[in-house]
Amino acid sequence: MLNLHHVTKTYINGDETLHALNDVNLSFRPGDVAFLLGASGSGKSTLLNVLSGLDTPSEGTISIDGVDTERFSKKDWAIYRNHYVGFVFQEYNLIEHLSALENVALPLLFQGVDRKSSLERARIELERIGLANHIDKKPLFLSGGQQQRVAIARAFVTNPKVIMADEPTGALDSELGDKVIEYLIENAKDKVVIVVTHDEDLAQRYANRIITISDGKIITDDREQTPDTPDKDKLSLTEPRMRLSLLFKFARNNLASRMFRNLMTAAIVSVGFISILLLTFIIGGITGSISENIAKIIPPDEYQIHHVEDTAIDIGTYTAILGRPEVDDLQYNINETYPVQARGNTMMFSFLSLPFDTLAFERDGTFYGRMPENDDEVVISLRTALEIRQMQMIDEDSYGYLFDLVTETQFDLIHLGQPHTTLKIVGMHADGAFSQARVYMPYDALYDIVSDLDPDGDYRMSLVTTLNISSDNDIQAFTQDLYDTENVVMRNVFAEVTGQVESVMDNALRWFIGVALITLVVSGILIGLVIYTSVLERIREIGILTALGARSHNIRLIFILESGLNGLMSGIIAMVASIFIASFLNRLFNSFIEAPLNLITGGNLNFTLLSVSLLPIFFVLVFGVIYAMIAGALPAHYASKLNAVHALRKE
Amino acid sequence: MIKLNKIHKIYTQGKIGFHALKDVSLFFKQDERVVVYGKSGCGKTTLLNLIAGLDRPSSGDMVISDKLTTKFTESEWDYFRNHNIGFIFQQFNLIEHLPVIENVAISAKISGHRHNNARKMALEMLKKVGLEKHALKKPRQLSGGERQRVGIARALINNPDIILADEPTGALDRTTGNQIMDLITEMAKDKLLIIVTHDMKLAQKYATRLIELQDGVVTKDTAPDMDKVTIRLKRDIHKRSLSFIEGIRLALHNIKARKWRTGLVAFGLSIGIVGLLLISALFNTIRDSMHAEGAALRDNPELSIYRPFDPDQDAHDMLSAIEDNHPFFLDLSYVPDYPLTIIENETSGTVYRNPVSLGHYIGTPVHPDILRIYDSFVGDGRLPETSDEFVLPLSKAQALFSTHIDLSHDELWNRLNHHQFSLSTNFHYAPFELENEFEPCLKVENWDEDPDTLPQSFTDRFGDYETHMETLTPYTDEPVKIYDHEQKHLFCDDYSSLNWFIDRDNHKEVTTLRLVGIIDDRNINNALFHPDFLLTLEIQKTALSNDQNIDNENREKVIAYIGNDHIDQKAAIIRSLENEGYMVQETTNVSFNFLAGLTLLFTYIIQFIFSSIIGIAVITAGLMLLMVLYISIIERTREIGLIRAMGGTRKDIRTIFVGETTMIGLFAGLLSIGIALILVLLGNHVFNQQLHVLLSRYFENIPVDGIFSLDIRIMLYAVIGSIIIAITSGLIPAVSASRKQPIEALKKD
Repeated sequence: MLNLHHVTKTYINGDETLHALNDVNLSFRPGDVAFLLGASGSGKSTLLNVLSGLDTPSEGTISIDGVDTERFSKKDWAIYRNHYVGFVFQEYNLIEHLSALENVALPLLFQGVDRKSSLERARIELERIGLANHIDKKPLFLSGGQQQRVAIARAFVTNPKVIMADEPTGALDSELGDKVIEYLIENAKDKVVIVVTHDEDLAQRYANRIITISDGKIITDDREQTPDTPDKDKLSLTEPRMRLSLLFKFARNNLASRMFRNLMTAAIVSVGFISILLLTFIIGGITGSISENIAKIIPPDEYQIHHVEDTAIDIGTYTAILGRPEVDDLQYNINETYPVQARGNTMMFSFLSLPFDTLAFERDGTFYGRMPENDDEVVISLRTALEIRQMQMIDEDSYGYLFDLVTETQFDLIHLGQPHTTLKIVGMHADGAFSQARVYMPYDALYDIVSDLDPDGDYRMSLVTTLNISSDNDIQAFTQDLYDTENVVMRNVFAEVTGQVESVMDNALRWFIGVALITLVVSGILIGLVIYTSVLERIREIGILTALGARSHNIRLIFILESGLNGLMSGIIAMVASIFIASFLNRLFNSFIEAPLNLITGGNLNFTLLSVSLLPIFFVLVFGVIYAMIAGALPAHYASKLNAVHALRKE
Repeated sequence: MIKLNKIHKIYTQGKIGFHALKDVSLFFKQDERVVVYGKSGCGKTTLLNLIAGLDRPSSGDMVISDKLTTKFTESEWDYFRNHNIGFIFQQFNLIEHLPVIENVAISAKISGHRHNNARKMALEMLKKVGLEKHALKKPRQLSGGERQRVGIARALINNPDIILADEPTGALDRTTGNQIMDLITEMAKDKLLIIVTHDMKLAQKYATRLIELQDGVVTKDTAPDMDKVTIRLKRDIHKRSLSFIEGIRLALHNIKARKWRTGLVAFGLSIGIVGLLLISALFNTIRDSMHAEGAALRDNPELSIYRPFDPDQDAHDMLSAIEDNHPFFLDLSYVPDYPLTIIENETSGTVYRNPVSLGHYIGTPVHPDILRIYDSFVGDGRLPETSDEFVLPLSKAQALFSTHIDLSHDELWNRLNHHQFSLSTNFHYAPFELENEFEPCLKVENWDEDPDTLPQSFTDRFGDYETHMETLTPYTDEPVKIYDHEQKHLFCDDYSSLNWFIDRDNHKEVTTLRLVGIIDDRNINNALFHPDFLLTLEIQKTALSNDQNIDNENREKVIAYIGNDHIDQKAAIIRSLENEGYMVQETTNVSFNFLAGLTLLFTYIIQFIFSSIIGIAVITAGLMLLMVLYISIIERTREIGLIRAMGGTRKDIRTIFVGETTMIGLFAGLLSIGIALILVLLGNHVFNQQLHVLLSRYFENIPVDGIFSLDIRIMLYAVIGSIIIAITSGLIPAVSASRKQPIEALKKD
């Protein structure tokens, strides 16, 4: 079954070359209960390690079921250990954070047996060994003898062909030790049992074969056997598949057992994420707020048309543009100041045409009265109303009263040398403290008056229009077309202003985040180092897992998952912290900057300094996990390459 | 020598107490070889730890060399351990990253010996244990026996009176164990040697006195002895500690042993610092270039030398007069200093509704130095070369178009490139402030009612007035008489107080010029003409007959650039010109200075923002360092315990860790300088092209060869800063390390 052929293993320690195994020839058959006897340092543990593939011989060959292991890959050895070998260690080597049941089920889970039947088989195994009452206890709550029995159950659960026990009674008193050995031998009929011990007495009592080793050489072997012929059942190596959830459990435990450290790490890592999130929020907030406030002043859907050279747009051009199918409504931008007589006083007011979107009156401020329906009806601004009544200011509550007063006022537009035009005030737009003295009239009526009064046509300098096309490309094409044919430039002031703000802000954000990424490099190094430390601390566990047949990529995955969890933690911390900081800063800004400003603007300013948005948060969460995994990949790889023997030896 | 009197020791773990030593009274003499044996858990190691002061008894007294050690303070214990006790451990407890000789010397260093001295002592000790050949090896290169020899050498280097050995052969095979025991007994001759073991054979072979412990009680003592001891209660005040240099030296060994980790930490710390260095290097260049831009103008100060219009004097006369008197000027150019306006684009046929006034204009400089400055400011096209060419500043070029549209520089240039423009170069004047048009009468105060003293007559009230006004001109020598035929008051004031303005709608002379270039008006706001053109303008000049009224529009000037070599004589030059009757103004380009100041402020703000963001990386790195040190302390708990067992004080531990952070900081600082220098070189080569284009759009004088320039002073700050950050970050872990209890620290694993 197991054959060693001229196996030699040398260690170099300082200047000494130590022959841990020196030309060892041995073979084991099913039914063997072989005790390896020898003083410490005689090479008996090395022999066991070489037999299980945890260590590779310097020279010589090992064959298992007639298969030469020379070409075994690490993976093959792992499968072999998992399926063929049951290990019992002196120090029990149970996984501390798993219950007795899970510890026993572990090799089965490594084989890819589903969780339910793994646990069932483990329960049977534990009941058989007399631990039915302790299956849910963690190793820490079990006595030494109980722990060793759990370890034995773990060794038997896969029904291996070989049981290897390294000083199984070393840490137990003799009575308990005897029990353990008896159980071992009783249950290991038709298996190869190899027990390493320095207890001659024990060997004499239980062994059916005693092999003595000293200085790496076989001194005695009371039942020398010839190498056997290949067995009937060939060594079959089906690849074990380990469940991700199991690895996840290990990773989570790694994290939980050093919670303070990991929280600290996550918090430090999150600093970079927080700064990125806050930068995104603040840029988004400022951009959004600026557009929002600009939209109050500049109607987003209005287009201004100017002649390229600073001249008036003549009626011909006006008609040509109006004839375009894209144009909805085209007006000259009239803003003329005329004297008005009201209540015996003469005042100057700006006369404008009504905006296309009369709802704008209600969006920005409050509107009293109604929209003009006839040509002689006008809407006035708050300032106009105040000037008519010869006032500077009035309380907001009295706007309605003020409007009632002015509706009854005689309101005459003065034409020099011609009869006055009597206008009727039907509406008032209370547009806040920065209100200007304006009079809004229906466009056609105003145009008639203006063209009459100002034949030179100063009012023809620009046009305002709305369009019935909305796609950027169409608008751009139309703009270009007008530019080419009519020599006029059409612009959307709102889009221009906000577009400029947005492009500046986008660029700023790009640069800021680019620079902030530097912090993430530091975070990456930190994650790497913390995972590396975690690996160093888990060396023993790695060794146990390797001995039980876990493969290197399983171990790698544990630590990658651990770093992923760490990244998730930092992402969550960053999310919570950035939302908290953002709302705090917003409050601070609103109460100390916006509120005083609004005393002046009459509450018109509505500013959100930082706008919390979900997309960057989501991105940071995902990125945090992936980035941490990448950062942890190197130490995880290092962990997967650790030598199991050294790992187990580490005290 | 040592007297233990009724010592009890109880350990508590949670609520469970464990009585490790029960009423132990013992007396050890100067030259005894005592072996304390017993099973594990019998309390023998506890006894040893109590004697060494690594652990304190729960009750009882202990006197060592006439000192009542149970009343010792921690620092007294440290001193006592260091000088009077040598400790040998089962697991050797060598510091893996230190070479053998340092492992031995450290004990001497803790007791205050200088580096060289301590090493000499260590080498001697190593000779005694037969390891002088291995002095420079690391412990892991030694076999178990050799390691324990190192342990013995270390225990004995300070020539202690008491040697305590805890299972000194426990980890060795029998032969080696015997050799070690021989060596210990040999070396510890005439010292008190207390060995703890569970190995009966060993005990019997080497002991002069055997003590058996069982469950914390002395069950056997082959030579019980109880002497009275004298107790000296006087406290010794000891001052000695590990020097900082020694801390650094130890740190270097540790750093060497953990190269990768330390390297990564230092790299992490350096990343942020590199960022700060690069930002500073970039903004250095930007500011330098801004400075250079200003310097070009500052190096050759520009003077404006004015004189009133003088119809009798030729412009050439003025030029040559100034030139002859003052050979310090690099360049002189004559400027009539009255307004020119563009009234029509002849090429495109646009007649401007509002003629564009050119404001300031000058002649193209002739001197190559000055010319070069102006050349560098030309954005599109070139400087005027013939007298029918001119160049506009950007703002004036934009003013030719609707203010509502935003033409790109290229578009602007395409639309104006080599267009012919009509410039109004001479004007009709109109009297300013004609009174209210509704008032037909212009009052003249102080008029003596004599029609002859009135300006020219006019017949009608309003129409005539206008007609007659046209004949009025400020340039006639004779006063013009204005009165009405009914002899009413015509002027509000007398004739001399009439203000004249240039009637821009009424052009007297129009010149056609070709636009050949646009100047970036960030620096210069002048239109540029060929000097010859400006000299021809001079011929048209006229002056008001009543010269009380000289204002900016009624004078001519010469722009003069003082050569850089005569810059210090500037004041003298100005004074002498003023003595000659000129009015001299030093041209300080206000818009340039203001803009430069604003841009400078802006660069500082941007640099601050970027530096703050990078600062987060530096802070993160500091926290990382804190974290890594904190972890490393957990890893090195054993080492800390060992140093404490050898008598190192808390301060010594702190010194070691602060030394380490100092080194990491220094390393990070140097690393960041290195990386920054490499990136600067790389950046100047690789990214120069792209970034240069980008930056030179805003800053003209960005040097072509490199956009980054590192300052040596900044690099020095970087190193100092990184050391400070590292030390600050390491402070908490260092303090926490120094607070570890030595016994707990040694017990670890």
